[in-house]
Amino acid sequence: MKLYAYCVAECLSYRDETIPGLADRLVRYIEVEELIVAVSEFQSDNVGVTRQNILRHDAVVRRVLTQTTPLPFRFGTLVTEESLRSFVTARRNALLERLALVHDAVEMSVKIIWQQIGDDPPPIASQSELGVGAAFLQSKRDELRGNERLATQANEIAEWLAGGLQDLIRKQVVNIQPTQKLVIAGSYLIDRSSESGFRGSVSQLESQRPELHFLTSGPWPPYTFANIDLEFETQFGVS
Amino acid sequence: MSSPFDQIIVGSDVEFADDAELSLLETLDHVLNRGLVIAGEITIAVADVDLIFVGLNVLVSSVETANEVLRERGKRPTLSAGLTEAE
Repeated sequence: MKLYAYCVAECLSYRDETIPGLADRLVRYIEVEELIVAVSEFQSDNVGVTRQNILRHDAVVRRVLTQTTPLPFRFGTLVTEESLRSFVTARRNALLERLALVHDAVEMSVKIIWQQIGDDPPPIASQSELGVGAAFLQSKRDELRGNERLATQANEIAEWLAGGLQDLIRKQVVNIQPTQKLVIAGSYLIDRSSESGFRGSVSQLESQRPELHFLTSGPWPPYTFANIDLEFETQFGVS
Repeated sequence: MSSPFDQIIVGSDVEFADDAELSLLETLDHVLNRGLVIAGEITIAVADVDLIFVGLNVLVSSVETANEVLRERGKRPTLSAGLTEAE
């Protein structure tokens, strides 16, 4: 039988074994190398992406978060107990370092949605004045100029946002997609005690730029800051 | 600690009535895309994942036209409906 893994934590003074996990199996805790992993038994070989499963996963991680900040496993992690123990043992130091990074912290999310702003650049010549090839090249040039303009605007917004939040954040991961409506998706690791200050700062920033739509959520377990393998892969150029 | 389900705030000029759907989409975004990975150990039923991306696109595209989307809610395949069917 496999185990469904929810999160790993450094210490838990109280281990709540009444929490229903996926498939209605109660959560239990495995201690490996002084680390504690919340798991539940799982009979199937596949984890369905269902509303109930996703909310159960998040609820278990969130319950642990009430005591200490854990490293959440990605949804759908099925392991044998042997491979789980092997994983934790082999990566104990990396896990401890990552747990230290997220200690007493939570993740906040800020998404910014925009209607791409600014006027279109004036065309150099009207379409009727150009041949087919020249018109095509001009349209491509206009497209590139437009993308450059969007990238400039998006980066300016990202810098403005970062500047307004920098005093509150430990670490951030910000994705900028200038050609998309969801132009900025930012994840911010902050002290638990900074949550209200963070919200206040975002509200203040929001009032400065009424043309932008903000979607703020949190506090989350540090999903964005949990993985250790991704950083290893990035460091060594593996995508 | 408060729950993000009560804490999602949408920009001031956007009327987004269905906070529950937004909350679910935000949870999906965090739980599915991120987290500690044990190489080769993730086994999710991917058949439903398209629905999630459809749902996220609906979220993004609908923020500007929330009222219109809400009026047409019954006409479109929503994320919620897809997930409910999968349960």
